[in-house]
Amino acid sequence: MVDKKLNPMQLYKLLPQTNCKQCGMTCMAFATRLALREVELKDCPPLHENPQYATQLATINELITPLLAAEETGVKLDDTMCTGCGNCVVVCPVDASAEPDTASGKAARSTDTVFRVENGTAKIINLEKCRRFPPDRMNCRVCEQGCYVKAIEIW
Amino acid sequence: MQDTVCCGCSVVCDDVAAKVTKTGIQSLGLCALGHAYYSSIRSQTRLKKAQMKAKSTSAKTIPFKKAYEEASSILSSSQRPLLIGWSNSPIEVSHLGLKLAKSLKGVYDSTASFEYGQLRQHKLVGGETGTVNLEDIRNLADFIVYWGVNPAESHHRHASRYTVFPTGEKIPEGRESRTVAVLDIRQTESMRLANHQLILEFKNGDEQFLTTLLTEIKGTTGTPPVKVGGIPAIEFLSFAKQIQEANYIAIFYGNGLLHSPHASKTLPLLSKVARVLNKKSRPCVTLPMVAYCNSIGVVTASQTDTKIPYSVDFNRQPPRPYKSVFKGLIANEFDAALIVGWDPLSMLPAPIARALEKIPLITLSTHPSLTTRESTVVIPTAVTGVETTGVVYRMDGSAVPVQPITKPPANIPTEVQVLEQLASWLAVL
Ligand code: SF4
Ligand code: SF4
Ligand code: SF4
Ligand code: SF4
Repeated sequence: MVDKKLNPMQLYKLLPQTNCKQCGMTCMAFATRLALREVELKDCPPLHENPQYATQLATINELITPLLAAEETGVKLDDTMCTGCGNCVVVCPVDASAEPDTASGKAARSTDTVFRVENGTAKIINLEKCRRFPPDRMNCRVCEQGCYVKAIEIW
Repeated sequence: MQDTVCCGCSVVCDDVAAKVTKTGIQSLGLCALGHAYYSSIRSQTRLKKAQMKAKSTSAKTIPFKKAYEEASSILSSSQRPLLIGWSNSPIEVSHLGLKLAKSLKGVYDSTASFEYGQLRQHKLVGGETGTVNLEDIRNLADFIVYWGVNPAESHHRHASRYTVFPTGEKIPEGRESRTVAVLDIRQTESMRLANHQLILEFKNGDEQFLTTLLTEIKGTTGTPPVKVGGIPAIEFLSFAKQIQEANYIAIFYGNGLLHSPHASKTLPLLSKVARVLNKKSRPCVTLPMVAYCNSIGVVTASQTDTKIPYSVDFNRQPPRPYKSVFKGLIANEFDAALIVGWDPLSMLPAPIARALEKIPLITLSTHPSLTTRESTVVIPTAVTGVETTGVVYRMDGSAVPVQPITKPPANIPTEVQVLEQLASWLAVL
C-alpha cells in the first residue's frame, strides 16, 4: 500500500523484525494485528527491553496513541469521485460480519453494512457501525487503503 | 428491485439488482459504468426510429419495414459484404450473423480479431489447459498480476469481485492472503492496491522484464543487470522470487501488452513464462482483459459454427479464414457493411475508419454514434441484458444467461429480431 498513514507495513518497519515470536506470532502478523488493535504494544517484549529500539518504540507509541484516545473520528466518502468498484464494501470487516457474502466479493444487498453501492456509487449507510467508533475504537483504515481513487477520507 | 446480470463490461456481474422507476434506474451493486449502462435505456438521445440517409445528406426517419427493405437490398446487391461487431450482443446474435454471412457469401468478423483472437495461438487464453474460471482465481490465486491494464478505470469490479480483495477457499484473509503486482508504463490507480508497483520503461521494458524473468524462473543464473526493463534489480528479484513461491498465479493483461509494438515478442514470452511456472507445479493462468460482455462468445460462436475463431470468409464453401479485415478495408475489398452493436468509426485507427466510411453502412445500434451518423440505414435495437434475453460469455469464457428487466420503448426490436427480419427479406429478394 502506498499510504503514508498508519498501516501494518509502517508498523512492521518499526518493530524489531527478528521474528522472535515472544508475542506468539511473527513481526508482520503482530504489526497487522496491532493496526487492527487486536494486540497491544506491550506484548512485544524486545521492543521495550532492548534500548536499541528506544526511538522506534517512541515512534510507534506516537503513532498508535492518538487512536487510543480518539474521541473524534470519522469516515467520509466523496461519491463524486467514486467509481462504484466495491473495494470498500468487500474489505470492510463490519460488512463481512453484517453480510458475509461481501467478504467473498459479492455486492452488498442488505441494509446492514457500512458501505453499499447504490446507483453506481458507494454510500455509507451505517456510519455508526464503523469500528473506529466506540466501543471498538480501532484504528481501522482498510476501506481508505483499498479505494482506488481516494474517495474515502478518514480522520 | 430485481436480480439482474450486468452486460456493461466483460466482468458480467451477476450479483446485482436494478429497477426501472419513473425517473430513471435504481440499482444495487452496479459500478458507475454498469449503472450508466442501465440508465442509458432512458437516455434522451436513445435511437427510437429507423433512419436512412444518402451520403452527405441528413438522415430522415423511416418506418421499420422500409429500413429492412433498404438494408436487405443493399446487402443482396453487394458483391462482398462485411458483417462486423457482435461483442456487445448475446451469442445468439453472433450465430445469426454467421448464418447471414454464409447466405450472403460475405466476411464475418468481430472485435475479437483485434482484441485478443490472435492470442489463442500463443495459448494465452487460460494457459495450458485453455480454461480458466474467475471463481477458481478468487478461491485459489495468491499471486495476481495486472499487466498493461488499469482495472480501476476499465473493469471497476474486477479486483473486488474476483482477484485482489475477496476471500476464497485457499484465501482466508482476502487481500492479506494475496500478493498483487501491477506492471505498466506509468503510475496507475490500480497500483495503489499492489505490493509490487512496477513501472516499466516505455521503450521495451516489458520485453526485457519478461526475458529476464524467464531466465530467472528457468533457474539459469547470470549476473542480474542493475535495472530490468527500467525496474531496479532488487524490485525485480523480489517479484521473481514471490511469483515462484506462489501456489496459484493469475496474470491479467491488457492493451498495454497486447498492442505494444513489441507484442510479437512479448506475447510468446509471457506464454513461456506461464508454461515454465506450470511445469514447476505453480499453476499459472493468463487472461486477456477483453472489453465487452460477449468478447469471448463471439469467438465461441464462430468456432462452433465454422471452426474458425474470427475473420471468416464465406465466399467459398467450406468457409476459410480471411486474411485481415483491416487490410481488406484499406484495399477497398468490401462494398457494404452490416455493423451490429458497435461503433467502429470512433474505435478504429483513422485510415481504416475512413475506408469503412466510404461504403454503404447498415448499423444496428441503441444510441447515436459516429458510425450511425455516417450510416445509410440505422436500425435502433434493444439494450443487451437490460431489455433482451440471451447468453453472454464473460471474460473467463463462462456462459452467463441474461434476462430483461424491462421492455424496450416504442416497439424497438431486439438484434435477433432485426437479423431474422433481414434474413426473411433477403430470402424474398
Ligand atoms: S515479540 Fe516483537 S520482535 Fe518478537 S516476533 Fe513479536 S513483534 Fe517481533
Ligand atoms: S474504517 Fe470503518 S468503515 Fe472503514 S473498513 Fe474499517 S470498519 Fe469499515
Ligand atoms: S472503494 Fe472507493 S471508488 Fe470503490 S466503491 Fe468504495 S468509495 Fe467508491
Ligand atoms: S464491473 Fe462491468 S459487469 Fe460489473 S457492474 Fe461494472 S460494468 Fe457491469
